[in-house]
Amino acid sequence: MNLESYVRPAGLEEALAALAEPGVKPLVLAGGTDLVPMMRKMRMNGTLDGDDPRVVLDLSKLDDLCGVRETGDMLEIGAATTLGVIAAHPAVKKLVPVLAAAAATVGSPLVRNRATVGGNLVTASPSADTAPALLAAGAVVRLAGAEGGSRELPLSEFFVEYRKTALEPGEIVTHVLVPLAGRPVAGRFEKVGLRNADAISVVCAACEIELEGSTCRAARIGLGAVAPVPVRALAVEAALRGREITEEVAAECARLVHEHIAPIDDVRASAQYRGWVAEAVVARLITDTAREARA
Amino acid sequence: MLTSCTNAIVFTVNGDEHMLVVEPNELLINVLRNDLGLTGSKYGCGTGQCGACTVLIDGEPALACVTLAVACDGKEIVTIEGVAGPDGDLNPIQEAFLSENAVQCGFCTPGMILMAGDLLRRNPHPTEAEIRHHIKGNICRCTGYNGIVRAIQNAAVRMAERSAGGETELVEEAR
Repeated sequence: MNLESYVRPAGLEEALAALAEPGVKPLVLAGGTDLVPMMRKMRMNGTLDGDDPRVVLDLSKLDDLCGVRETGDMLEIGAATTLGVIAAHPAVKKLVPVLAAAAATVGSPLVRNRATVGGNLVTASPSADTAPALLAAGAVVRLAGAEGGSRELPLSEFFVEYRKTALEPGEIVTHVLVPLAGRPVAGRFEKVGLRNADAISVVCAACEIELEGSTCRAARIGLGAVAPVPVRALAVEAALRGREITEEVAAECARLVHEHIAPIDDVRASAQYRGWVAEAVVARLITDTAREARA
Repeated sequence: MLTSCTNAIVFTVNGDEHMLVVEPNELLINVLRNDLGLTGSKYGCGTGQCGACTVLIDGEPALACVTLAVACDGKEIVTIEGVAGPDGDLNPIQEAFLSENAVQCGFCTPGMILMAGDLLRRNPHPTEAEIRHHIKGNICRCTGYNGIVRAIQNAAVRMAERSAGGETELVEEAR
């Protein structure tokens, strides 16, 4: 039954070469907090059996994929940077507070010591907490593939459908980039779960607001766990533009969130409840973020 | 065909070096418990949600049930068995857990003690909220956590006293 083998490439080129091997179905390992339970589940339901050799490709020696750097007009976050590091990183806290706040809510301290931002995005869970924050921050993902190819993609185009990303076979996410123009930007994140720790979001949402005088120049709102993929609430953002943000305006604009969400019933909440909560959370986030932007 | 690493690993557990050959999908928790006989760390949920399998890897708390043993090549691991002194002297956190009756069934205790040590190393004087936040990933189904929180507060006092005492001794030695 032990059909997996294990490789730990010393560098990105070697990792990409391993990914490009014909006939290999790689299981890419970063923090392992999602992958290892998934491997167990696959074994239990038989999908790791049969003629399906799997290779665990451990990225832990790829130092270039770890850490946070300011490079010109971008904040460059290595995909293998742990959520614990991101949550506590001074540059992230100062420049992209919405991301630091989201990273701090994933799992528990033990999970955040291992779980990585790249892993959180690549699993493409609709409830991935860093996804709405990075959508609100206008983030871009950098992907690397075989033959030295590298491309950048807005995060909003990265999530294709439920649990499916735009990654082509042989590609990995190497960095998450946040444009630095106009930063720091006021940003808030809110998560509604069934308990305080280790909760999978019932609804999570993130908001960034830039003001010009007292009116809203730009607002960006991301939502998780309310659609097959993490989404931007573009209609809400458009409605806020040019407005002076009061609680009433926030409530009015938040109603438009339903244009972008398609919540489902599951073990954690009903679709109807998710809809109500999404609207309420977005209204509150807009009010609170605008207040912070004015401060 | 891809050349796979040999799955021989060399790692240090509680100061002792071990060389083992492991399956690529072997979990660290099973290697610690079954191959090395270190049964202090517990196999609880198996999905990283309960914290019973907490160990230190290169000084950082980690979940041994979602860690592949093969990925621990070259790492330094500390389990609850490595917390007491070589002659069995309990460390101040263990003493505090005893004196505050912070243990009932004991299943969560190894993880709680390692997390307490991690917190006090970063923050020697944590507030109650900081303590509760730090042990969020460690589930206890017996105590209601109050005894555990008191024990960590008590441990902070013991460690502060001990290090103050240590400093006095050093000053005296210097004289």
